Amino acid sequence: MDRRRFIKTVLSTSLLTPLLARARFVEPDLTLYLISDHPEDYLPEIMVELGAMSSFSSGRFSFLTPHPSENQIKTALTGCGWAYSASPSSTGLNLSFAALHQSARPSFTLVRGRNIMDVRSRRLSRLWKQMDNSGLVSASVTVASFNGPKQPSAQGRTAAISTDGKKRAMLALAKDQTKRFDTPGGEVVVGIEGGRAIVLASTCRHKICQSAPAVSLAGERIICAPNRFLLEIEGHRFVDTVTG
Amino acid sequence: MLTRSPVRAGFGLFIFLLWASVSCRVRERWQSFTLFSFDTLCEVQIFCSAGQVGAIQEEIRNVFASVEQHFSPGRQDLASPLVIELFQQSRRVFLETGGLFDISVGPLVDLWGFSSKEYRVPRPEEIEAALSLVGMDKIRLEANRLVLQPGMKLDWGGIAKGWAVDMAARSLRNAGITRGFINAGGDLYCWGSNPEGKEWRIGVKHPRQRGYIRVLSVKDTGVATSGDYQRYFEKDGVRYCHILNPTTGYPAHERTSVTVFGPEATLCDALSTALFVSPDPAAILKKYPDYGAIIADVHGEVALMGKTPSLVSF
Repeated sequence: MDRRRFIKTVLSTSLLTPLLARARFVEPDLTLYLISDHPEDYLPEIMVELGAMSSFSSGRFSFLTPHPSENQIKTALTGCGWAYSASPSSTGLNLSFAALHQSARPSFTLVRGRNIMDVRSRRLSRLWKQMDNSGLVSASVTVASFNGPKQPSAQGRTAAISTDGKKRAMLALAKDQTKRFDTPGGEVVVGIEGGRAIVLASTCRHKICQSAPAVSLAGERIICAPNRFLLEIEGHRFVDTVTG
Repeated sequence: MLTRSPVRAGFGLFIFLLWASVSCRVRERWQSFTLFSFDTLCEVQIFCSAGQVGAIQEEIRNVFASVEQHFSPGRQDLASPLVIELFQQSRRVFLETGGLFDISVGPLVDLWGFSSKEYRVPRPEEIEAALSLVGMDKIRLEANRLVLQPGMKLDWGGIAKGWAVDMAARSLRNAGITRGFINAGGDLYCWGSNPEGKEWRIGVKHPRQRGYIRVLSVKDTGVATSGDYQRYFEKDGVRYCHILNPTTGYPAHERTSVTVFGPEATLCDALSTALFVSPDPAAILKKYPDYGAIIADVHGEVALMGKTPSLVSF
């Protein structure tokens, strides 16, 4: 996929730019802009993929505005584990509808925080290409805002690395980097990318630490028990300790 | 000849006492450390002097190592007083929960592959066969020794960690530590006040996303959580978690997280397992009026049951 065309598609309509600006103000955790007259055809696949690549999972959804495909979307989302709620205040996914001022090729854009997510290396890329090559034009956009649970902790600035209870390093989250750490059980590779810390590789057997989502909030941790390895985001914690 | 007036001597004594008082207070401060036990991270924060930390670490290590030694699979001395004591406690919960908490689920845990981590969905007849080897009522206590029927296997995973936390916390309190918490991978006990002089704020992890579903405010309290996200496998789009219903032989699938709080971490640990698989958790909690629960189901709904918790809004 050509990146310039991808970005151009995202920003080409007169309507999307104000939507993006509003997203910056409201700042949901993740927003999906889906240009299609039949969003129900694409939402299930996008939802499943989002669940796999981020911490978002099925929950309750609601509509912020009337949507011409409301019934079809309800059927599509309930089919992949989401439950409809009439009250948008307590739902993890809120959908709204807007008409485009000019027709555009079907496509979608994901905005996390203030950044457009590049999906070219992900499985969603195939769907994007399929939509782009469909030869159709669409005149409507569905905006899906994902809201995670409220985060009482602040964004951390450093990741503290400990092995066997001893502090080994402090990695600044502001600087993208990769570091290897020898541990009592082998080796753990830590990556800092876009202000988040993640375990990229580990010599442990079950790789639970590798499948842990990236962390960035004060107090969040990634633990690798076989390697006696602890990565913890430092900063003021809202809670004293965590259960679960 | 040099003589000191009573006033100067009194002033000197006051300065000495002030210095002694201040130095004693300075020596006691919040100490945090972590250790790995029970295949997880154990976090400790206590108010004590720096000189005490080494001995306290050793004490906690010893308690945890002793529990691990006695209750790890395949290493059980069925005549050990520790094993007999925890068996008696487990049996009480077994009876109170109508068999929904059962340490004899070992054959089922093996069958589903949770002990070997070679997961599989067993055939119904295999589950039926394994269920015939499950049931604490089949275990006899003879001459201070547990007698199991052939093929039975104990799994203490639903209670031993909470018990270890209680023992370690009791030991520290007896040693004069007045404030602190011990958290062994989510099974915890906290006592006294937190570093801000308030109740301890315990975040209950969201079972599916980052952050917390609730934040408890507690003191002198145990807390434990059972969740379907800790150990599970997926097959054909179905999630099979490690918390097995000992009456059906199948993993529980209605809930994603159950957190129990109350006076003892041991009971919190056992009850969180029982409530996770129970069709009627409120009925079980009626038998434990000092305990409460935060229950998240697969639809994302969160319910509070039993003793009303003190929650921190965020």
